[in-house]
Order: sequence, then C-alpha cells, then structure tokens
Amino acid sequence: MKEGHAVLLSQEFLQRVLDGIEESIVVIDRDYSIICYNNTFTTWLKKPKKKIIGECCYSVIHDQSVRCSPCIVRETFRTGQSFETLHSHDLGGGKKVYHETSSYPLKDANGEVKYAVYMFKDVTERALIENKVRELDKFKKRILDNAGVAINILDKNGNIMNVNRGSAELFGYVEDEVKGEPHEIFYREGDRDLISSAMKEALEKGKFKREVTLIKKNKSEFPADLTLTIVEGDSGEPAAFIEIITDLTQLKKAEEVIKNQLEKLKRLDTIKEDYFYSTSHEFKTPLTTIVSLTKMVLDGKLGEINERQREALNWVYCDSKRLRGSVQKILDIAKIESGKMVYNIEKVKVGEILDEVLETLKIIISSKNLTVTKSVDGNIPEVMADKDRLGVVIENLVGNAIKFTPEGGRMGILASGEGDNVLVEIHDTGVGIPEGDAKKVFEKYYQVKTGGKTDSGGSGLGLVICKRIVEDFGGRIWVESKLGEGSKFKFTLPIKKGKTKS
Amino acid sequence: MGKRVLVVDDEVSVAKTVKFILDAEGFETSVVFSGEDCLKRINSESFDLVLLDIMMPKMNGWQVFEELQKIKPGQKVAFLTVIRYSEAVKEKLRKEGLVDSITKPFENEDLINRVKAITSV
Repeated sequence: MKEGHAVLLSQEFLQRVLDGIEESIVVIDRDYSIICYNNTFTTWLKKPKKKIIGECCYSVIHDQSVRCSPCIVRETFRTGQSFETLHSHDLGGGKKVYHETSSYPLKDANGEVKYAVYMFKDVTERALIENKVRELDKFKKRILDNAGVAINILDKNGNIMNVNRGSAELFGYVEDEVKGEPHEIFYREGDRDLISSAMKEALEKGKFKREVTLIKKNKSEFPADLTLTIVEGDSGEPAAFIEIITDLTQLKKAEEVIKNQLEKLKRLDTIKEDYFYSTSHEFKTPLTTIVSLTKMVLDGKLGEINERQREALNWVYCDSKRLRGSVQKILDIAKIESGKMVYNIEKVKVGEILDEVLETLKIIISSKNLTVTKSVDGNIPEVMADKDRLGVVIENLVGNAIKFTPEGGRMGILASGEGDNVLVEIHDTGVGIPEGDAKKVFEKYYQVKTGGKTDSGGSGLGLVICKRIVEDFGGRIWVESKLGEGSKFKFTLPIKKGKTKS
Repeated sequence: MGKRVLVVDDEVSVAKTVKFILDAEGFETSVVFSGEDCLKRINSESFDLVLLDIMMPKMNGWQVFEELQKIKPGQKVAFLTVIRYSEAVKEKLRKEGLVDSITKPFENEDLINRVKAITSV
C-alpha cells in the first residue's frame, strides 16, 4: 500500500465517500442500533444528528417501536447473505412510502457477521406511478373480463397475447395457459383456410365477421359468431388483432325450440281450421232448414195459420235469419284471415248488384219508411270482382245504412266512374261516427255506441269483412262522417284485372 | 201432373226441406240420401230433374253425375251445393250437361224460380 493511500483511507475520507452516494446508508449492529450513516440519510431524515447513533434503526427510520416484518437486515444477520427488496411502509392516512432497499453483511476477521450495511432509496413517486399503471391494467382487464363476450388479443402473427375471463371460461383454458400459443388452437383442424382468409380480410378491410364452428380445450365443438378486427400501431401498421367470440349454442338451441313450437302451432292451426270448416257446415245446415221451413209456414204454403201464430213465427224467422247472418260473418272472417277465401273474379255490373241488394232489403226499407235515392251512372264500366262477395259488401253497407237511419229518414246510393275505378257511395242520415273513430270502424269487433240497448248490435265484423273483401279485389274503402249528420261509406273497385287477388 | 224432381243429399233435413218447398209449388219430389240410392231410383224411374249434393260420403256428387251420364244420357242434373262456382265455371259445367249449380244456403224463392226455369224448358 502506498503511503498516500493510507491517508485516503482515513475515517474522514471514508465518511466523505459515503456522503457522496445518493442512496441513504446506515450501518447497523446486531442489536439493530445504528453505528454509522451518511449525509444522504440525514437529509432524507430531516432530524438532528445526535439522536441517531445508538438508536434502533426501526425507530429512527420508521418511528416504530418494533422491528419491521419482513426485515432484510435480520435476514442478513441470520444467513450472512445480501438482500434486496422493495419495502413499503404505511405512514397512516392512506399514505405510503416505498423504499428500494438492500442489505449487505460486514464480517470480522473470523468471518462472523458483525454489522449490516443497510442502503435505501425513496422511490415512492415512481412506485405510485407504477401502482397507477398496474391499477389501470387491472381495470382494463376487468373491463375485458366483464365484456360479456369472449375476447382474445392476438399479436400481428396471430399468437395469443391475452384472453379475457369470458374466453378462458368459454374455451375451458386457464388464462396463462394459452399465452403465446397460436390462436389456431381455437379452430378445427380442417379450418386452416378459414383462419388465413379471416386474417387476410381483417388486414385488408379492417374487419372479418362470420358464423364459425370453434373447439374447446376438451375438443367439443360449438357454433360461434366471430369478429376479427385489426389494431393499428402509432404509424398505422398492423400491431394486433382483437378476436371477439359470441357463443351461439344457446341461441341455436332457442332457434330450434322456436322452430319446433312454430311447427306445432302450424299443425294446431291446421287442425283448428279443419275443425272450423267441418263445423261451419254443422252450423249453417240446420239454420237453412229453420229459415226455409219457417218461411214456408209463414207464407201459408203448408196450410192456414192464425195471426198470433204468424206473429210468433215471424220472430222465429227474423231471428234465425239474423243468426244465420252472424254465423256466416264469423265463418267469412275466419276464411279471409286464414287466406282460404276463394274469389271468383269476373266482370261484374255494379248497378245490377245494387238493384239485387235493394230488392232483398225492400221490405225492411219500406217498414222503416225510408227514402232511398239511387244514382247510378248508366255508362260506368264493369268491374273485376266476385259477384257474390261484392253482394255481401254492398248488403253489409246498405244494411248498416238502414239500421242507423232513423224512421222516415233518407239514404243515398251512388255509383260513378273514377278513372280506372268505379266509386260506390252509400249515404245514411244516422247518428254518424265520432271523429277519430273513422278508421276504427273497420277494425274487428268495433261497435258504434248509440246509447240505445239494441240499436246497433251486430257482430262487429261486417265492416271488417267489407274492408278485406274490397282490398282483396284491389279497391279501397273508407268513411266520411259527421256526428249527428250521418255517414258516407265509400269504396272503389278496379275496372281492370291485375291487382286483384283471386 | 207435376214435374218430377229427385233430391239427393246425405243431410236428411236439407233433402226434406227442399221436398217441402218444391211440393208446395206443385212438384212431385222424391228424396234419397246417398249417391248409390240415386242411381238405383234412376234405373227404375224417370225424373225431370236431379238435384245433386256434391259433398257426400262414399260416392260424391261428381261421381254420381258421371254414372248418371252413362245410365241416362241427357238426364237434367243440377248441383245443390255449398261450393260457389263462378259464372265462367257454371258455363263450362253447362256444356258438360249440368244445367245449373244452386248454392246452399238458398232463399226459398230463388230455389223455386230456378227449379221452375230448368224444368219448364
């Protein structure tokens, strides 16, 4: 050793060396008392020097009455080894300090550890930032985990960087198990082409989306909706892929159930319709007999009857006819709604049908003492319609007009050519329809409230049937009405065939 | 003597009702309730008109009509049915030998007028 060096190694010189180090240094004996320290330490401590030497390290550094746990100084004394750790210390009130610490053994000539050199650096600021980043990462993971779908993050080569909880649960892997694996592990052996075309399309268009079959860890297959999107780096180059997978197993099952239910409903519908048609005959036939035979007795064709008998039978006749009409309407609407109404579309003279209807209703018209004005343009062309069904429409409308026009009132029936259509109007001078109900009258079961008990009556189906029939002919029906002044029901019928349904 | 009409309908009440209506108008009406019975009666008797239901069990109206054409060519037959035929179809049926098709339910007057029209020709 050169002479000058001995000077350099003086205690003062060594203290200067220690003071120049930017980490706090404390030398501790086996009683955990501080025997030496550097300036950095006192600067950090902000306390007078004389209270440090001989004091316990934990009381000076951390203001504690007990040793830290864990304590790397203890470990150094115990094992004779060096240790490093990030030590966090709670200051209370949610405040924490973080120390990057290390502990080295100082041995005597016999190799016994007499002292420990404890070095530390306050890294609280850095640690807080790192904590924030970790929290953010955790938060991002929570978002991904709670996304409700399976999400895989792939690198630009298609290797798995991350999977969310949904994906791990769906495929049956542990999250870390698949990291670094190619995402091919989620696909069937034979779907290599699919994978490459998916990646290609995602690269070219930014997105690939298709229904595919994927496999789980246990090799079971399941239907899934797959979306593969690209994530670009700062300079626009492809950096990663996001693979979003929705399990369609339940949806497919539900679809199957719905399909089966629909088929069942269809079968029930057919049964119901068949039943309707067979029973319709059952309803209509006896009523025909009742109406026909009552009429014969009323007409005196089966012998003389007295006035009281005639009056009673007349009620039977009127009501059985009404019942027959109602049954017919219910059957008609069922037929129309099931699409089973068959129309015989042919050229029809509207004027003739108006005459026929008025002829059948003339008794009731005269019994109510109504004045009917009929104005039919002699030159109106024939329309394309089903003669009988058009008769039903007109009978319904004229019947309603009669019903709602008070005794001795006026009614009007008009027919004229209107371009490609013939316009038919039936006017009454009845109670009219409240504003806002003009469209409702063509809805099922609507009935005009007149205040009287049996004034209106009816099945509420007549106008529904009219609307459906007129529209099936390719025409249009509507009503113009003023409360208290009466209603004008109007409908059009096409002259040319084309739009009509037959 | 009144014109002879044979009513064929598996619905007894309908057949009897038609007989009531037509008899009151002076027709001489017979009723049978199946196509088979109709063919038997036609073999031994002659009628001015056969009123034939279409929807009947075993032999339906169309089958009965074809048999009638063979046994008695020219026999006047009219359908009495719930099926509505358009005027165009009725025209075609007339060419095949059917004189009319009356739709059930019918109004008494309508039935009488049409049967009268057919049998008076």
